[in-house]
Amino acid sequence: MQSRKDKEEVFFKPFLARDKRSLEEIIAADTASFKGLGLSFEQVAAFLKKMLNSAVAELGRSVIVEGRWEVRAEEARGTIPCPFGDSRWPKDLITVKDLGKGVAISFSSLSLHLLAEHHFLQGKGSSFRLEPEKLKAISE
Amino acid sequence: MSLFFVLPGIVLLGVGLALFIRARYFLISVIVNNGLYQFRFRRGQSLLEALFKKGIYLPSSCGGRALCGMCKVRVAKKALDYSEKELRLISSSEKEEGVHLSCQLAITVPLSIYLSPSILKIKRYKTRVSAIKDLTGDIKEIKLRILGKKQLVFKAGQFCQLIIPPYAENRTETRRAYSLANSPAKGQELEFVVRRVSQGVASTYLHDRLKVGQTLELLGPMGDFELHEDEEAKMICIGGGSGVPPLKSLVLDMFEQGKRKQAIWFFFGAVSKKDLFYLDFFYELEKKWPIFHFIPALSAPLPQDKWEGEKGLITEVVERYLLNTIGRDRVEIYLCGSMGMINSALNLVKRQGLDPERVYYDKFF
Repeated sequence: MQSRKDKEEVFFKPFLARDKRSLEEIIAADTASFKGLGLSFEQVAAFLKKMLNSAVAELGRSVIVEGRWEVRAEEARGTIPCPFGDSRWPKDLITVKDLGKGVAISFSSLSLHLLAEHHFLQGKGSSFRLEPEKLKAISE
Repeated sequence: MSLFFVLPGIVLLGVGLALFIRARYFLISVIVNNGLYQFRFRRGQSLLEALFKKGIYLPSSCGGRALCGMCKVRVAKKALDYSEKELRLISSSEKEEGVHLSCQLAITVPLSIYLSPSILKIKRYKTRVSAIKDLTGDIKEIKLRILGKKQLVFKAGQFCQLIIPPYAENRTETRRAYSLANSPAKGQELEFVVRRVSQGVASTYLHDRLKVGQTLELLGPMGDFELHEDEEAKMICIGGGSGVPPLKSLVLDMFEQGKRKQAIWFFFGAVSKKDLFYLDFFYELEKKWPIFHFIPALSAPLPQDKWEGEKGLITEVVERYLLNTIGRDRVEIYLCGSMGMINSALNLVKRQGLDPERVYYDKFF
């Protein structure tokens, strides 16, 4: 039988990807990066939420938000649990492109939740990793 | 010489005593449906896990973390405590009835539980992959034939959980729900439609590793998305992407049963032509069945699509048809697709003053 620790490791593994650091180290390093860049988790989460809402309403079609960002949501059926065990989120992938700067990011409803509630941007190598520098470039 | 006889006796007595202590203090009795099944489980393990090992497959999709709420059981003993996590998913009326999440219920006292007959019908089947076909760039159709003479008895609209074996860095078995796309009349060869999900453990396996001829296990049937029996109502099906298969199963079943009398409108929403599939099937059905109307709609057709059909978000197209063609009287709506599509359709129902009690969709986890 799997121990509780083993199970938790299984839940977090896809989010840590190939990053050798622990969950706590990743969160601490990204929190420091946010501080250094003058970003707040609340402000970035609000930006991502605005992009997500605009994209999801279009059911897969691209849309331009405020003349600056091109956003699109791809959604599959079903939900995915938060590895911290507090909620479930739609299986989606939101892509945001800043048409002026050419910077693009991808995230999911779950990665937005992880950022907003747990300050966890995921490990290096995860396809849903949100890099603080990119978040600053695309949101400001 | 006497030691030769006494020693085995002592050993046997010791073993017997150990078994008695184990049975008395470490094994706990669980009675299912008034004695239909009786088990003795090791103290402390979760009820969900223990029942699973005995071939009683309560649906669950969150790894036992009290997030999906699918593994509910009614427990006769109402004095059991509820965890805070459980209370998020148990209503006050369920609490009154002694409903618990089996994943959160550690077996520490003898239990008498009640499971619905539909839960007891869920079985584990071994299948062989008989065909894999690309339907679009990111959607595959997978056909699985149940080994032996067994058949899956299911209702159109239900789903199965495909069991993905450990692979690459995934060290444990993974179970994911996929709707059945075929008619219940064909219970031995099952059709599933799988959309690739970025970083998805199951869809990556099914798209990249699964081969024809390979065996794959599944659990089923599950779910309560099924046909309601108002044959006089006009039926509107709204689907997109991997939400189309259960609706296909529903209409195919109705066609084979020949029961339905009123019009059936099937709306298939996609972004561009490359996202549509099963078109030949639906156009063929439309020719054979006068009450069936198939309306594919594209929200952003590409110039090369040369699309002359309906354009716009699927909910906008349905709304136009409701106002101009179908009418709003005695309409029932079946929805299947992403959460975004379902929410958008529910807004349409509200906007048009349709009866929300006649809107059916799968709470698909």
